Amino acid sequence: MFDFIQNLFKTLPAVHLRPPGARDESGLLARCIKCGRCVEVCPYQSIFLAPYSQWILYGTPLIDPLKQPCYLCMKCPPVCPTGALKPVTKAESNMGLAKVIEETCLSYQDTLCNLCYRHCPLKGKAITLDEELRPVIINEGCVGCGVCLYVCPTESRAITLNANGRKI
Amino acid sequence: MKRFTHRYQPYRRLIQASILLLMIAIPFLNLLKIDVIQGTLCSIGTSEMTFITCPIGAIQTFLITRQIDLVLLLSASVLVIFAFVFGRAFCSWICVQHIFSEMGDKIRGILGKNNDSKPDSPKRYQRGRKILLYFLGGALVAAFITGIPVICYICPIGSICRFFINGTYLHKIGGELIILGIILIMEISVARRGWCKYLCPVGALYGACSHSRSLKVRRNATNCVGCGQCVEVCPMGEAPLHDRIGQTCTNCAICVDSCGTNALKLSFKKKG
Repeated sequence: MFDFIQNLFKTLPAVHLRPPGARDESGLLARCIKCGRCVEVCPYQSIFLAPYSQWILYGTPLIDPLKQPCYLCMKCPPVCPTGALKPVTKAESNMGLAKVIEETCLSYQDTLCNLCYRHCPLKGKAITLDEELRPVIINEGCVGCGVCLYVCPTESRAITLNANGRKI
Repeated sequence: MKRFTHRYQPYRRLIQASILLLMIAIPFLNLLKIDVIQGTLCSIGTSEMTFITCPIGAIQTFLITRQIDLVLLLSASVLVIFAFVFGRAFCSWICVQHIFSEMGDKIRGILGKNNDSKPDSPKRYQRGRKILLYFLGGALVAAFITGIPVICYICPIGSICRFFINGTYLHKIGGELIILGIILIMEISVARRGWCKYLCPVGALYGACSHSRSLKVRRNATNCVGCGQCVEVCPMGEAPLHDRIGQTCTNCAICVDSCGTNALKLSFKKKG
């Protein structure tokens, strides 16, 4: 109703995604009853509940793609009892958008590496290889699951993830 | 306590302990990929469907979003119907916080604070019931205004369940114990069963759902000798001796077990 109260306490975590099918921040906060069903159904243990240090976000589901990304198995949206996660298909699970940093990406430094392309759960719809076999993100197809970020072999990760407008 | 018959208490303890063990075991079983049952007391189901949802969480969602979801409505009505039939029995037979509150009662006894054998005076009793309902109403209004389910942040039942989930999945002890600690300290030092009696919104909802035909402790006046044992053992300040068994009664049946003359029993019938 009054979003300013939510904004007052909003201290967003540094490196986190929402599960697939999650509503926008205020819609998720309005509906999430912190039951932990999505945590228990996740077969990869990607989802965890936000700790008390996140204040208003306490108990809502988060994904840390650097620890364990989302593999888009789409098991969590149907179990949500209050509809904080909407049941959607893989391609609609709008979690964020990845971007290749060409300065640090190995393929752009004349080394053959296509780990992000091979591990992408959307198989060629989100990342393609150009004629010089360098990864290119398709902005319309990428849902921001974070697998490419997780598998990137470079020290500083040659991929950034923009989680629904929130910079990671 | 002279003649303690132990009719209901062993079963109650068994159900309480098994529900607590279930809440500890469910995250572990799901970690081992045994997903026959998933969830906490906030919401229970399988990986395909939801059976039971906490009605307080559902009411807050309805108030905030102003949309009725059929699955949520059906799963939330299960415990409301349970309260219509069995009164506030959820509290003393299922609730995980109740176990810790009873431990707090024991600690109160050890500290020598548990010697108030008098029931609450009618005025104090009425005031307690009012506080309970006002707190529920106020929390629902707060949820409506702020747009977030505020009761879920302070709910000790959900906190205990989340404590087990975080312990299993994150391998760390979260801040959830703070809520349990605050409630226990308050109940030990300020008011006996203060949370359940004056504040708990979940219990207040179930209490409001119970009515004259739901399961209740009823007194048979011909058997009653007026010893007052039932009043002495009641942790919630009810007075079965004076037929004052209200909406805060959790049907724990401690008074029934303590009655030496079988004058009290749990029944659905109004008289008899």
